[in-house]
Amino acid sequence: MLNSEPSTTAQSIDQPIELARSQGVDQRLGFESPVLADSPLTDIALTDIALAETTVADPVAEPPIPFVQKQKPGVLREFLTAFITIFLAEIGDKTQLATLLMTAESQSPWVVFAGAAAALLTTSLLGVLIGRWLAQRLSEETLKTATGAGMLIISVLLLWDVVHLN
Amino acid sequence: MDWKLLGLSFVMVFVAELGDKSQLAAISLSGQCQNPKAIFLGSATALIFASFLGVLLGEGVAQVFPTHILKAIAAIGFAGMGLGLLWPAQSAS
Repeated sequence: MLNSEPSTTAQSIDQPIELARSQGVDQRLGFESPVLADSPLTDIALTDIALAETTVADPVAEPPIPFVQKQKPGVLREFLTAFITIFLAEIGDKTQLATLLMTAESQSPWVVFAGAAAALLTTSLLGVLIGRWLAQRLSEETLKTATGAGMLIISVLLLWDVVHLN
Repeated sequence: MDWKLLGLSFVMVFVAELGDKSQLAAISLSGQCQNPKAIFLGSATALIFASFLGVLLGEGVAQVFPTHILKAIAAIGFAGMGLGLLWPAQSAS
């Protein structure tokens, strides 16, 4: 229905829509009047747009080619968002200080660096895997709230660091 | 190659970083994103680059970088993203 290409991104984006659709049906049966419930097609389409507007536009109205083009700048933007925020957050952090201490004490600092780099790669991979796993389990709205709360917690932890680094 | 030292530094950093705010950041960033690989690469390169600077500059990191200010900027950035997601009217990202 979205497009003929069986790409993985299209599949993963398709999931919230399916979720939104099932929620839309529930909402329609719960709240709408029986007159409106007689026209399920328009009703579901409207609920779809309302619930999925933050992630993807209505796939019926949107042709597949602009949809693919819209993905491209997103990759670089998301990479830079992750890089900049995590770099700024992590510079001068306690892990870095621990690595510093180890490199200063050992005879071969680059071995320590290699070990630290491998560990950081692993924790990043774990973090992203957990994030994707949660994204598939939780509904769009719950995920948004949880993500927002998580980011506020990070912000508080960072401010705590700023105050206590002195 | 000193495998014992390599293993020791891996385990130490892995345990220290597990459940830390950078991993929490990776979880929350990847939850909202369209390209999990971009988040993984961005997060991993940022962490490794920060460690690389640490090894390279040693104790001088705090002198070269105003770490307090950088962390405060990151805190504001995360607060902004978090509020953007929680704010009902605003359609973030």
